[in-house]
Amino acid sequence: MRRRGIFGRVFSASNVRWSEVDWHVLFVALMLLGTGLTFLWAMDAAEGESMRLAGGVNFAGHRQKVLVTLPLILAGMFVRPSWLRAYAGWIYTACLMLLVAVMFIGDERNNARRWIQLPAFDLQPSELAKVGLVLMLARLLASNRLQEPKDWIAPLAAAGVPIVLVAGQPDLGTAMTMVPVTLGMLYLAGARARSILGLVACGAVLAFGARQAGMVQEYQWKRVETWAATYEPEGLLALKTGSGYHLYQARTAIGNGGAWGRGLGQGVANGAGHLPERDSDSVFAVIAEEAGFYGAAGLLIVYSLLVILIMLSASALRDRFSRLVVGGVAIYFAAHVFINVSTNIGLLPMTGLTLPLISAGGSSLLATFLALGLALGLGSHHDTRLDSDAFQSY
Amino acid sequence: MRRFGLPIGLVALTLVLVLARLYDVQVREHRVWASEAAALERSETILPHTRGAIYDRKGRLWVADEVRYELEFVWRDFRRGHPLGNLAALRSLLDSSPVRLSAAAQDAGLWAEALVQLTPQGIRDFAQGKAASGGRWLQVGALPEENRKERAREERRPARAAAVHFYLQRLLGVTRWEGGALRELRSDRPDAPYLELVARVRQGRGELLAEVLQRTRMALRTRIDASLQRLEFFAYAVDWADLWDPSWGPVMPEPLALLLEVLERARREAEDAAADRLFATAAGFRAGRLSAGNLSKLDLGWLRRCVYWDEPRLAEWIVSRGNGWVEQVQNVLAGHVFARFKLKTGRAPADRVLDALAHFFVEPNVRPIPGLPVDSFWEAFRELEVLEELPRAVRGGEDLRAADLRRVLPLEERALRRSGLEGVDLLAEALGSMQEMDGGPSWDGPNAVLRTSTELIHLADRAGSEWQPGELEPIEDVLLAWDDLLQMRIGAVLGSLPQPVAFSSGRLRGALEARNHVVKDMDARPRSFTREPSMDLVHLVGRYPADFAGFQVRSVTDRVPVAQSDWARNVRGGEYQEPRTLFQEGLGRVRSPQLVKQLEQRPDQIELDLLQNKLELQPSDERRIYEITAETFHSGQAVGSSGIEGYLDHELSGLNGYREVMGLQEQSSSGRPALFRPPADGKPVTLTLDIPLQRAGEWVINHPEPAPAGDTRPDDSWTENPVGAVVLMAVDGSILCAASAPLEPGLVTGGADGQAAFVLERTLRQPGFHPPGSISKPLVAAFGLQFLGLDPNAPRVVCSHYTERGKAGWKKVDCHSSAGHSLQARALLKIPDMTLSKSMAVSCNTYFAQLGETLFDEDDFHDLFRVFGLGEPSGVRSLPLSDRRRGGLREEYRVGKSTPFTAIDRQRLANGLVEISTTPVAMARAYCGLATGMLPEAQLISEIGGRSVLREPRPLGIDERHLVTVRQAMLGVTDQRGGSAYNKGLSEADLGFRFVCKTGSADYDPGLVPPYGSQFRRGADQELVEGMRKHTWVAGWFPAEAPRYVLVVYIHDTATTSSHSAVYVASQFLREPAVQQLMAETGAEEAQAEEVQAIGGPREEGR
Repeated sequence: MRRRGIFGRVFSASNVRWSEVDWHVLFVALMLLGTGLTFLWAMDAAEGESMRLAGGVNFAGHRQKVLVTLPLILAGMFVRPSWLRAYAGWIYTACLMLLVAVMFIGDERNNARRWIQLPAFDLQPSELAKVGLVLMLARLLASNRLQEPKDWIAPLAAAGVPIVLVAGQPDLGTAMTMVPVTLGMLYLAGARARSILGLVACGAVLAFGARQAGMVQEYQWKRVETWAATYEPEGLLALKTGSGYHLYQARTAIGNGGAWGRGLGQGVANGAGHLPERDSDSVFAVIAEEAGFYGAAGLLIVYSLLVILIMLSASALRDRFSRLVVGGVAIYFAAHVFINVSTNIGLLPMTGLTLPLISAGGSSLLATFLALGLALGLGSHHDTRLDSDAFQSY
Repeated sequence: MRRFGLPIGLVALTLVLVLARLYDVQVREHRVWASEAAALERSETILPHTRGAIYDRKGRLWVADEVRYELEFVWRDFRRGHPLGNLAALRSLLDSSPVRLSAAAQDAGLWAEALVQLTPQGIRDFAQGKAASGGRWLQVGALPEENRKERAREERRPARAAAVHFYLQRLLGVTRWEGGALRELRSDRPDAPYLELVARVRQGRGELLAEVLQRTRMALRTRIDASLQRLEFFAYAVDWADLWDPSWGPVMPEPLALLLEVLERARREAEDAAADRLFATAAGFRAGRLSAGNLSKLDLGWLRRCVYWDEPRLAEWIVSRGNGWVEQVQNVLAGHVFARFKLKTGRAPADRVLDALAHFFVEPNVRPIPGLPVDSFWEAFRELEVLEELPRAVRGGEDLRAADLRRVLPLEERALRRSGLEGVDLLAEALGSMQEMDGGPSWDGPNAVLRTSTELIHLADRAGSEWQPGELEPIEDVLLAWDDLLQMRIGAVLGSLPQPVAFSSGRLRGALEARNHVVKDMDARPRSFTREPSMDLVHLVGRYPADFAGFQVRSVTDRVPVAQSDWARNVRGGEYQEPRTLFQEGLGRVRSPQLVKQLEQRPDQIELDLLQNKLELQPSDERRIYEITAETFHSGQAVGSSGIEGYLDHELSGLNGYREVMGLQEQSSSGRPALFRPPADGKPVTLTLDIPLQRAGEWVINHPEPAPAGDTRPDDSWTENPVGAVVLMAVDGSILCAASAPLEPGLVTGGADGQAAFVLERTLRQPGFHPPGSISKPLVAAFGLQFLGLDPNAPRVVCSHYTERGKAGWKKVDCHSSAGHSLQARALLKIPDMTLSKSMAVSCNTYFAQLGETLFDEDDFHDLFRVFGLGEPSGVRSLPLSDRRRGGLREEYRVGKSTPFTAIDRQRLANGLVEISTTPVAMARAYCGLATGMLPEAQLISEIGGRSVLREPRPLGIDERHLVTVRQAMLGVTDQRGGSAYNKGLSEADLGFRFVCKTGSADYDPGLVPPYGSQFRRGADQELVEGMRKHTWVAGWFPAEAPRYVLVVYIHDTATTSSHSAVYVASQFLREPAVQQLMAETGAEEAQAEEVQAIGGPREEGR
């Protein structure tokens, strides 16, 4: 038997059944990527020189990051499921170490330490931690049906550690995306819906207690208050120059789009340049404005399609680990999209989170492509060895 | 699939939910957001109008709006772009204290050498709280080992370290490309000094590192030396007299030191402003709302670390902010209170006073409509600024009892609100509690309260929106006293908390999050460096912006007087004097709009904001936008406040224009083109004044020549401190020259009434009592001839001390000649010999006193005033203009008392004494009537907006033969021996033309005069004696044969008579080249007219 090198032990192209790759998933994902590139190009083109000098949208930089990170789809596809399962714990640990490291060597910006400076771009370990969490939970839940209360301890602890570390950066938005991923994977692993709801209720009680005990930072609670006060236009208009500034700019852009939109690059978000983070966290507002309700709705339907296609792909897998990873990736996408869009349209309090495949941002692209590659690869990369669970029906 | 059904269902459900909300926002609420978007996308600019220019009668520019340059300084640009700024910033970052620019400049080279020896590893160590070293000149201490990392974070060392990298690169002139390479090298060679790293980046193929190192070092040295040299050059180009500050002391430091001091001041302002903002973010109120004592109770270490201050600098800030309220009260707030209670709100004055006072203590967040001028009623007074915020702002604040935070000011008392008191009673009750205060400012008991209350009520009720000196004091007292109450309560509240009082963590976090952009914002705000930079400076900064980083040029529009007086240039030699505009006090000044007017515009501005935010504008909306913006005050707007600028403010002011910019598109989404209306500039105004003549008049009346050596009764003290006026009027009423003295507050030496200390327009005003004296005699004579049957040739009186009176005069009126004017023989026989012509020539008081008593009755004098236009507006303010209330250009025209004239009054009136007062312009107008038979309207303005506003004269109503009689009689004044202006420089030989005039002197007030007569010694330092001070006049016209111009000279408060004062000023003025030129032009015009007539005659005949 020929001995494989390290690369060979991790990756294998031969085991990928090309005919079983979910090309439609890839197609939909690339369509979304293309949409993002188009809107970012339009943003860049609409900027005046003064805005550009002041650090506006950098389409060339985004394109470069896409080109650098796009091969990660292949990396995800070619990775051996067996290796992934065996080393999921190590990957998760590495992610945790990065999260710890960022506390010490991270670059502090706006009183938050979320980034590690790299030559090409700044790495945000919390983005990678989401993928690491999916793998770790899949590893833990591959042989755990959550039948006993003690079965819940390990997966909840595995989810809790990165959530706490990320929330401590502080990056509450990213931490919050890990919650639905965790809950969703627990459900996929066999937890009863009633138990999940109970967990959510416990979480709500704990959050309320934390608030009462003064453990929630005032600015965080203020965001919730602002959100509640700004659901209706009158409330938001009253706070438009204060705490509701970002919400106001996003809602104005979205509302201004109307049914049919203002046209590519013609929105007020680009024209006036007041919308913060319009190439990343608020990119949906720009799209909704320029493509209108029908365009934005189309985009959301395509996103839903992507999520559902990935879920269908997962449901067809017999390997429990692979099924949980691919299912986790689908929930990861769904959570990101739902939270991002909801914050922009006022369904949730404002928090910083990217729109997968569309927003600019190296770390986001890196994690998204890696997750997508894993979903595609695991969906087609059927290992010859089947674990015992493969033969059990749900 | 079973486990995926629910998630897929949830995705679908979520999709529906999100789409429903999206539909809500995008379709149902579209109009709301589209309107907001339109407002965001549209930018509006008010296009300011240019104020109309003012010209003289020949079209020479007098005053105009002019664009000029101002020089500004931006600390952030200097800090980042200038090597000296880099050095100071680097040291400040490393030392965490504001290192002065002067210190950086002193050792710039050594500091730079030391700083570039820092290594990436050293900077990293610094970030972690360890020591950093750059050789002997740079030692940064380590933080204590215990909790070092935590302390380093607290001290913001990581952020400071990142900034150190940035500034080192700026200091070394690292380019963007070099920066990328340097970043990699920093990781590869962490122990190499920065200088070496940069040298390696710049090292070319085959070059030795040592050579490049040396070159880089030299480049750094050159860069610093050159930047300092340029700065010094710049400093020498600044006119420091404009920027002089008393703190510099009597000896002005070197220009570079001064420059650095001024820049340092700008930096301190920027730092203070950043600290203010950060404090306000954390506290929820401004630092200036706390006294220094209360501020000191707060833990402000975080603030010190945020702005990189040391303890002394923080203490300085605390003191300056602690006094902020007191300063604001004196400089701003008292005026604001005044302005607020002047606004009409339909409330009683006492309530308006309390509203305005209360406004400044209310928590700003609870003011109902922040934009409105009066936005809080004292009865709704609930939450006090600071006390309202404290529970949330400070740690432990949530435990404060509500009782601690209420009932501080009397306004909060429920009993007061329900008392039903009004007026003074209400104010007295509301202000009364201050009596209980210990050491309240200038508060001396119940009477003081009542007095102050009455004063405030009076102020609120008084017409007019400008305060007078001293009026704001009671307001200041109340504000300061109430603040004392508030501070005492705040002090007690803070004292009950653990010391020092820490801010709540949430608030602090908010402030720390805002730190970077606050510092950036405040540092990037331009601060005025000089308002009058030389063109050299403007050129330097504009042409070489990189060499003078931090400085920038801004253009502003100013009202610039072009026609300036000779006064400053000639009188003080080399001493600097502010240039003075010709006819300054009459022309008036411009100023910023009054606060009351600005506040009154606020509702319009709120309406404008609403209109600008509308998505679709109706034609009526567009009209309203144009309407509001046309008269909205814009930044830098000037309004006329006095003189002609004030009187014609409506005409000189134009209408602002309006421009809307639609962002990316030419049209809005509604298809409406962008709104645009160009500004309509103010109308130009042409004066009747003539610049050379005005200049001559101001020169003469302000620098009168001393009386000739042979004069026996000169008043040299008046000559040294002249007060008076000169008016030259064309006989059609056009005023060619209206000059007043003094032009600068002078010394009050000889004068009785101290008028020398006041700069006033004196040709149209009567500061004090202005009897015309004998220059009214020709008017009396003409009136007597026409209406009262006066026989000019009939002798009427004996003027001699040989009469029964024992001295010359008529009853209560003494003649100015103590021996009298009658011939001795006639006088002894008591045969009247004084005729009109003789009396006029010698200005015989006796004759005119007799005339007044015996020929005139009371109505006759009133008719006399009416005929000659005395006691009525002269016409300068009677222009055919729109009917609106006009200020500026004050004129006084009272003439005499309103009670019946007695016989004695009539004796005096006929001599222009005691009972009559007038102005130089009024007398000039009357003399125009005398000279031509037509009484003109006095005119200062000939055209407005190209349209003539000159008015026609009215007939005097006196026959020409009578006027000729008077004119003939007046010839003797200058031509006859014994005439009051004989041999006084007013003869044809002296002037080149014949000047017909009358002199006049009138007693003014008892005062000190020189001892005239045998005891008088000119030039000797004589002791003054009690005597009578006088006003003296000369009024006349020229040329005598065909009167064209009337001259009136008025001398205020002198020790002597007209023959020894006013006549010399008149002579001096008439000999001025400008007057001679006027006469030459007049002669040429007449010759031309005669020629035309001569040419025209035969042609007509030939027809």
